[in-house]
Amino acid sequence: MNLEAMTLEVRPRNPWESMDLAVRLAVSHWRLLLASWMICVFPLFLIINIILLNEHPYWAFFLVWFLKPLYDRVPLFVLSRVIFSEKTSVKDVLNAIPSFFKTGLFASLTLYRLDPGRAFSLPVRQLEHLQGKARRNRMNALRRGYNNREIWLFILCAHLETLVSWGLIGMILMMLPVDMAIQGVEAIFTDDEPEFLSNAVSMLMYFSVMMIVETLYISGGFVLYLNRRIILEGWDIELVFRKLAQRKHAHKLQTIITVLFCTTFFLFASSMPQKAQAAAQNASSAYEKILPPVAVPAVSPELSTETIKQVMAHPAFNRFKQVETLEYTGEIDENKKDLDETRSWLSKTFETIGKTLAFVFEVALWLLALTIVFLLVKYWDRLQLGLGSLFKAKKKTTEMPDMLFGLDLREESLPEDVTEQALAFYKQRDYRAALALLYRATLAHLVKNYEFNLPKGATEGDCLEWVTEKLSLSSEAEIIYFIDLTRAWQLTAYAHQMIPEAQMEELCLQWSVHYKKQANNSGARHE
Amino acid sequence: MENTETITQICQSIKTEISNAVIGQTEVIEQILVALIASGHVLIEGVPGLGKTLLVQALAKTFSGQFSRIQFTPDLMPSDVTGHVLYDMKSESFKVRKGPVFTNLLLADEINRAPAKTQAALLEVMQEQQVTLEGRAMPVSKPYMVLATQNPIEQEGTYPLPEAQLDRFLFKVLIAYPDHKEELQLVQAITDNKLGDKLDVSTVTVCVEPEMISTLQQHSASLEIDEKVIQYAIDIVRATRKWPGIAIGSGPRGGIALIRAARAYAVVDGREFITPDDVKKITLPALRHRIVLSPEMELEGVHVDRVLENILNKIEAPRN
Repeated sequence: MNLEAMTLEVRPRNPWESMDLAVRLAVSHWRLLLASWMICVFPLFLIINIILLNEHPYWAFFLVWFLKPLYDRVPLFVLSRVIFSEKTSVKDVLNAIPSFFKTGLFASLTLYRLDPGRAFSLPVRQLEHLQGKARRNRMNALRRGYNNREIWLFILCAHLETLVSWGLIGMILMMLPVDMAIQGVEAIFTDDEPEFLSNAVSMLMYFSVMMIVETLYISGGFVLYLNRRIILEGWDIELVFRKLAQRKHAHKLQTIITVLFCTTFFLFASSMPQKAQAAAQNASSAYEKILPPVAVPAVSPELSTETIKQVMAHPAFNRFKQVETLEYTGEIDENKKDLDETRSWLSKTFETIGKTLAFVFEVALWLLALTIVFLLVKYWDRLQLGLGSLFKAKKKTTEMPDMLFGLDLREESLPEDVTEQALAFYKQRDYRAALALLYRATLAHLVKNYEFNLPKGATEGDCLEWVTEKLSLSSEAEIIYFIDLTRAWQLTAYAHQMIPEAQMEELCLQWSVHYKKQANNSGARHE
Repeated sequence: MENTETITQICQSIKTEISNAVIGQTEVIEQILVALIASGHVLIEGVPGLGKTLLVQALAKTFSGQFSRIQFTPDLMPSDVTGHVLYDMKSESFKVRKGPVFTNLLLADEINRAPAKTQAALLEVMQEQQVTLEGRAMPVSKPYMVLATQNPIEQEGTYPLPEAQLDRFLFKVLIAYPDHKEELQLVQAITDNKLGDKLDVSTVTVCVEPEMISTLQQHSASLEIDEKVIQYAIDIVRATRKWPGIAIGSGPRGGIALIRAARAYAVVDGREFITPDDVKKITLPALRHRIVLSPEMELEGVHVDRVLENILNKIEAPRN
């Protein structure tokens, strides 16, 4: 790696300063970055929109957004080359497109699609070509003690993208005539499908905003990554040593010391981030060309320890002298003990408050869960009403109910001989009870033999409709019987008219023909 | 009193004659006939151009009744509806000029476009069946029926009818677009050998005299009804008062409307007794304007008919 070729000053930076630097980097190479983006990403954007925009505009938007990790490879490729003063052209970017698909793209689009720190981890995938456990170890090493600044970068860029997109839409709406603008805003909040032209304009605006913001985001992540490596691998120190070596190469002793220092440093560096080095050694040729790993001699940890000991044994490192000085440490504070006790008390108090609050929250959460269950039970009817169509399909039941629209349909509730009992009622001039029994017994048999799906409030008309539907293919005679029985029942119950005895006997006879056998069979089974 | 068979034939012929002029809308025709026999008034809600005026004209012609139409506008005065008294210079006396309410069938088009006092003047006539001018009560012709219409889509500049006044309509009938086949027939019938788009009820023939309608109304009112059926209607009305999703339920007038309409439905159906099915059939038009949904239901876009259907499914019908 030729650190002298780097176009940025190699020194440890504050993460915020790194982000500023990233913006400067992107601005200084904006032509190449935007040209690469337009040539590589815009055709894909066009294809998606041609296929989907007219019929499924929301899917088109989703797909354009979803493929962001794929587009990210383009600016990173450009930046990783220009930062080392490599001459790069759009042609190089086009040639590199096939290699983008070998950089963990599947994982980026699936498992890590919603990873907010993807700009920071992308160089590890694309430039170091690390995958799986090696990648995770490498990311752990890079992120250790770094306070997830890449997440803040993501938050900043996400807000920037949203604000600029809506700002552009607002600006265009402001330029439209009032009526058109109102319709446009209404379309956002209603189910109306926006027109194709407005869709196309919106998508183009989104693409433009995404092109700029995504470039800044990737640039920021890359510079943060470089900054982290500068700190971890001491690139700045290496550069200083190299300059020292060049300047002092005439002086033999100093040269030896410099070499020794360099060796010591490299050995030290190699023993500390071993995982990082292992990853770097696995890096592919593309990465070696752009960001070659640190030139570390191939030594084992044992050998390096031995070497360090030898170096440290040099007299130059063993000149000790004891210096004694006086230092004012302040007056002895009598209250210090009290202060410590107060601190300890405060600490315990806060701990107790914290535990109490945690307990209160736990109880509140349980109460919330119980309230939700209670409300669900209480307002089940309303919920069913609102989600009627969802529940309709699931409400079917094949089990025979005991009670149906106020009628007791249990076999044991019916007399042993239904017709005999009905005729007995009739002879006692209790016509209503006679027909009610016959009607109930008939329904009990029908409900038992056919799938029940009538609501609680079903009337005679509903039952008749149901029976006609259920028996239309099986038993026409049964349908005719049920129609006659329903009419007789309605006449008796609601018109208060007595049906002739002959009709009653006929109904009982027909009942025996249709259902008595079934009732007997059922009774036998029951025994 | 005519026998049941004759009554059924009369009702059937009225329906058939109306169907000759109004293509489709079978359910609407039946509901309006039920309301006429129940001596009730109807509020029709539907977008313009669905044949509301034609329907009323055709109905009026079937019993050779008089027909009037008032187009309600924001500047319509009560005296434009009921009539007024004029001083006649020639005879030097006051003369009464009767308003369009003195008719058999009155179509109050877009009733919600007129201010409250004009609406109230009409609603008073509906309730009392008479108009008082200069202290003289003048009854309107019998049978008398008001069919008011309102448009559900243009609410700007309207005066929505208050709940108390909505309650005076026996039915609120929703008139929907015709289906494809009906619309095809309709366009063919209206454009075939016809000039302009004038409403044509020439195909409708007179079936009965107005007195017969009054007889039918009497017959409907005298039908026998089982107490359990009345109980069923009351159960439905009472359920609306405590049903989740309903902010204001129906008052006792709802139960009265249900039974009156159920009687008329039984007459139209050719029966001399009322069943729970009759009550169930007319519950939606009879109650949909008498209940107010809760704000949550309104926000969720649940239609009042769905709530009523839910109630009907849950209220047990009498069976023994």
